[in-house]
Amino acid sequence: MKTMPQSPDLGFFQDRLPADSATARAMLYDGHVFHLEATASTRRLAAEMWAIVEAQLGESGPAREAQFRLDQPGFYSRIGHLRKRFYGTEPYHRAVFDLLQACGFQREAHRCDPMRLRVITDGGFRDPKAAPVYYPHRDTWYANPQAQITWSLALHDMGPEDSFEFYPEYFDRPVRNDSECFDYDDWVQDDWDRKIGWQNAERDRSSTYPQLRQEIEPQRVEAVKAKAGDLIIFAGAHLHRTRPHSVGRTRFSVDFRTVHREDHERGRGAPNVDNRSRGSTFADHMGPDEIGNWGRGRL
Amino acid sequence: MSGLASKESPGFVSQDPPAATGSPPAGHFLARYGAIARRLADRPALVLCGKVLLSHGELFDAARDLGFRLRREGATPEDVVALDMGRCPNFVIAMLGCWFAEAAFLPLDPNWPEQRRQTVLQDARPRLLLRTEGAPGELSSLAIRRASDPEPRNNTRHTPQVARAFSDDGLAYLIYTSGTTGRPKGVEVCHRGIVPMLEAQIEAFRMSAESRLLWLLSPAFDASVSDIGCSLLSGAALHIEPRARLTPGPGLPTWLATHGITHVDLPPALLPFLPTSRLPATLRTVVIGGEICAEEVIRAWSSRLRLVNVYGPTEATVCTGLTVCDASWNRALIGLPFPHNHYRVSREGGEPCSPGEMGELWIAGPQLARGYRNAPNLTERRFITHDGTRWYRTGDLVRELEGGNFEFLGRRDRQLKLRGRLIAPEEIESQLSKHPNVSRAAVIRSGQDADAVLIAFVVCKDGCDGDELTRFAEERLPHWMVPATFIQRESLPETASGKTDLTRLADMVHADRVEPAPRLDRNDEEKPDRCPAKLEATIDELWHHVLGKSGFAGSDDFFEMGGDSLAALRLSFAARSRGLALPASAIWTHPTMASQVAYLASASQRETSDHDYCEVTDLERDVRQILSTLPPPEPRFTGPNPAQNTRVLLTGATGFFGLPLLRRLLTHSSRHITVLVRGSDRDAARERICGLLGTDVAPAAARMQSRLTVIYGDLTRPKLGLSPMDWRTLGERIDTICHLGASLSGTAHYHALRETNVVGTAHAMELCRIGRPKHFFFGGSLIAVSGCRPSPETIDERTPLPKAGRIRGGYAASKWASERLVRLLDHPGRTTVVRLGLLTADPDTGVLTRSDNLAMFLKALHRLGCVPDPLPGLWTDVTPIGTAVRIATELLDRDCLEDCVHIVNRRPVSLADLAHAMRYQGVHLDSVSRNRFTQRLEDMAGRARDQHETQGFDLCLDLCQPDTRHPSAYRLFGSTGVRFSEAATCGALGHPGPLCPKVDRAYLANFLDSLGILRGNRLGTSTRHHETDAQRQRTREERHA
Ligand SMILES: [Fe+2]
Repeated sequence: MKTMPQSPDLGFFQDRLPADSATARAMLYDGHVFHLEATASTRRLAAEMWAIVEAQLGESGPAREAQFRLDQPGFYSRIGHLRKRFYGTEPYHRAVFDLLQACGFQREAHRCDPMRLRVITDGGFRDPKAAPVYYPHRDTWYANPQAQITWSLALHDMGPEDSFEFYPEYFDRPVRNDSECFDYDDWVQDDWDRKIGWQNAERDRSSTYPQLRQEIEPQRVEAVKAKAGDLIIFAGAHLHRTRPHSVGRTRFSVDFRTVHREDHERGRGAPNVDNRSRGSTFADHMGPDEIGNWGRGRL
Repeated sequence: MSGLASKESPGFVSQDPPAATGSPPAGHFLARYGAIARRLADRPALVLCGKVLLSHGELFDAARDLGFRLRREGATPEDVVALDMGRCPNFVIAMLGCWFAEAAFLPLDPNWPEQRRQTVLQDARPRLLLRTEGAPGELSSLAIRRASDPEPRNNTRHTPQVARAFSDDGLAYLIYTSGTTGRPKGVEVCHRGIVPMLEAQIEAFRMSAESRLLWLLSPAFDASVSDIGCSLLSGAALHIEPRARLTPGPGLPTWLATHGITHVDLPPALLPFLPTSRLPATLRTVVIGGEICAEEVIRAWSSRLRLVNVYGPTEATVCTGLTVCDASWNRALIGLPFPHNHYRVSREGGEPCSPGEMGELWIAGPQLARGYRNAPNLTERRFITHDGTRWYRTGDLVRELEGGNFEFLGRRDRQLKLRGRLIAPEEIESQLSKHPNVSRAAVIRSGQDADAVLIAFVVCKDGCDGDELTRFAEERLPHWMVPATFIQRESLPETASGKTDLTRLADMVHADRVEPAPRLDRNDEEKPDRCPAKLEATIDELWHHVLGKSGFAGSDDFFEMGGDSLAALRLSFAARSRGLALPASAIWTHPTMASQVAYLASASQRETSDHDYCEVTDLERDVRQILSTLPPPEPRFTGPNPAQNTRVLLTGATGFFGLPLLRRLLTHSSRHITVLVRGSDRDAARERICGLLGTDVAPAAARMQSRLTVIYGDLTRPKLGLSPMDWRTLGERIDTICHLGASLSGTAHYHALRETNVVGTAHAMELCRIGRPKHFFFGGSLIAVSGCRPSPETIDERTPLPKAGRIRGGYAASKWASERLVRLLDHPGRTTVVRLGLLTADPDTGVLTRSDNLAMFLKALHRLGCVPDPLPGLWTDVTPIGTAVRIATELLDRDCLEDCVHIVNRRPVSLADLAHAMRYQGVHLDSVSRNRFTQRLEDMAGRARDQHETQGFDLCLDLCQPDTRHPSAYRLFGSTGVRFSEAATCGALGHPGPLCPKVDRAYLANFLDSLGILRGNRLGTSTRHHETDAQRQRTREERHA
């Protein structure tokens, strides 16, 4: 990684976003990862969303321990409800674009894939069906644009043991994978729900789910440690994975992805070192003008 | 962090040595261009004769370096540096170099007479003189000389000692224009107005970084500042052709097509000589200005492309306003001023005219020049302050029209007084130009006082009659404005700026008037033997015969008059019947009647077949040029690319190979196929494809519909004519491209096929540079190798494209060029060239076409009823389409393929076999002498009933050749003298080989039967029909199984 900061005092995560969003995007495409401390508004957004999670899961104890109190179908049906709410309703669509604008990213220039709730249960990695959730991967292997940027919002304090991790050396180094088996048009052809469900333990999609097909020996593993309302911003092309954990509680967070329309159109974005998936999720991203109408009838 | 650093740095000046005087203000040309040069550093900036010489980054650096050199040589702000060079890349570097040194440039046209040059040098007193001493492309050959001027510069108003730090008020250039007095006057133009003017032009010309502008004007003409400036500030490529001469004829359109020129600034006088039908599709905008142009010419051009008429005096920085011409053009409009400029129409006394009233145009705004060099009095007269505003009095007579546009009426200083009346000669010229035969007119006064008369010089498209012109003028002008004499000229003398040189015209009058009665008659006294008039009469008759109408003029374009490729063939045959060798390919390159006459008149000095040939080295250059115009590839990985071939883009799906291939891909595989079809919209395109696929595919469509995506686009346009987002989406969706799209013509010249077959291939292949790596299958042709002379004896998959020699036929040349391009254009995925043999109808598999070469040829022989004796030793490779389609589908399944595969019949069939088979089936074929055969062919060709028949007769021409070694047999008999091999392809497919069936008597019988020419010709047809039908039935059943 020639462009990644090497100095130990700087650390892997950059704590300040350049004021100019073009520069910020260029840095993200270069592999830089930003970890922005919570601001009043992100803290409030995280708190609001957390309150909704608690309303679903917290009636008889802490929401983060609901997985132990509820049976699996009951737990996942409530999670499904939360997912649809965050992903498919107007206030959270609006929140995505507000957050973008607050970070100096022009709302009109972007399209987004809205908020997905991440639910990483204690010991969840032991379920073989859920294995793909924990594979090191690049988001671009699932036909996401090279210009896609992931924004992860911590809903509660987390990590590093129950968060996610990056392998910076592999940002621009190819790894063996079978992304060529992923064809987005096939994927969404008959089941729009897959769009939000594909990283879901309930569905066994591993047959068409691109995987890393080699052992990696990363010299550097950079794990996220965040407080509620903190924002982690990175290029979807980063090789990363969710950490399997058994810390005795479920980890919740939300993330959304954005694509700068013109960057995508012009082929700008993180370097593509090994992605051979086909099709593009771009057309299914939401524009700011589609808030409230987007995906209606499909969700 | 580099991203941040570059944003904070002030740009190029940060690298300047400390001696630099600061950075240009934001509106300065160098500041604007600096940003472009950083952003588009690697895009071509200067292209010389098709070769990219400098990118924007390199040009910017070269100019800056020259700026330092000029400073070291003593150039200081406000100094003038003379650029002693013509239109060449160095001029561009030198111009910018001067600006980096904060000096002004002074163009010296090498074509000026010595006296003018001396006058200018003495007046301008440049500090330095830049001269280019090598070939136009040698950038290192710029020599700086101190101008031999020991005296202190005559520069009182400005103090050069003060560093002016790229001031907007700094002198940018000094350009000399011809004054009415004959003495050139130097106009001092500042930087202030340049960028606003260029930006307004760029917008109006619709220029972008993808544009390619051809610079054709003299650098001493200030419009060159606009040509150069617009292409640099839009990040476009400036194409320079130092030797290009603005001569009428097919040369320029061909050149424009070859180089993919999108923009060109042309002297209006040239327009009538360029047939609009020959304008390449790439040409988007043509800029004209400086002179009035015939209205119908403007109307014709503006219906073909964006035609922009620019207006502006040198004294107000090139161009102060413009207007986009349209089909309603009926007067000399000059448009509205740019928003930052102001126009005012003034009476003699300075009062404003009312709308509609003729008056002098005054201009105000940032574009006003500083004034005339060393001519304070003149400056004071022309640059006046009125009501607190500085105005330039243009001397142009205009009137303001309703809606704010302005009409140009004439020059104040050209106003003539003739027997007490004021006359604007431009008004007469404008009326004369309305005559359909007059392409240009200039009117001057000759003689003094009572002897003074008006003389009109006219350039006619065809012979004009003086009486006719007089009548024409009398109908439209008051009698005192009707010229006394008309003099016809091939062309009118021009000044460096492309305007009619009236002074020289006046001189010509003196010479001409010595001769008695200069009447307007055709200039046909020369070459009485090879009389063009006679040839013209013959051609006129032939056109009449082919096009069915008469009354053509010399400048009429065969294709504009309704001719098409078929008509060209018929014309060619018709000419033959008169003993004139006018090959169809020559008709493409000589579309006008006059040019055909000229072609025939000089035919004896030329090898007639020359036109059919392309030099491989020329094609190579052309391919390189096309490649150089492509945007650089996006950085992509080139890792392993496992075979997928499940989402295929098919081009040419409506073609006679593409359509059966599409049908088979839909019926025999589960692939998703996207087809690119020309059409007005998606529904129409889809309808067209479904209609072509026919009913046997349509019922199963429910299943297949979801696998067939139809998009509409155009191969000849960048990004296939798709929107940037559609282009990207397509690029990310597909993993395979089967590129079959090509224009198939046996007669068209390379240039007529180039856009579709070669440029189109580049456009399709560019898609491989988007998204994931892709497999690119290219439908090539063996003719690309076998059509070359000399050609190898055996052509197998490893036989490279010939690198030298000549290729017969435009189609073969275009296949050579496209295969070459495919092999040169790199992309992350794999490329497989599929060289196809002669594809023929395939009765065995039900793939039928009545328009393949073999079918058309056999039908023509049948109609002729004879063959020449002895039969020439010609061979053809019969590659049935059904077989080819099946093999092509198999190829898509293969992972490991050679770079090149062949689908061809390795066992050719001879002409003798064909004739024998026909006779055996009862077709009557007499053996006649070659002369009889030729006669019969010409006779029958004139009576061809449709296009296929004509083409069939055209193929029969191969039989008229006395010598079979002569490489004429290229379309049908491509395997004469060569051996094709597909052994490696068989190996890759695990096929025992040969791929194609043996073309024996039974095969040919079946083939002839399918053509329907046997009926009534022989006995026992019913049995064979029965067999064939049974066979077809079987094929259908297999397909549905
Ligand atoms: Fe991810």
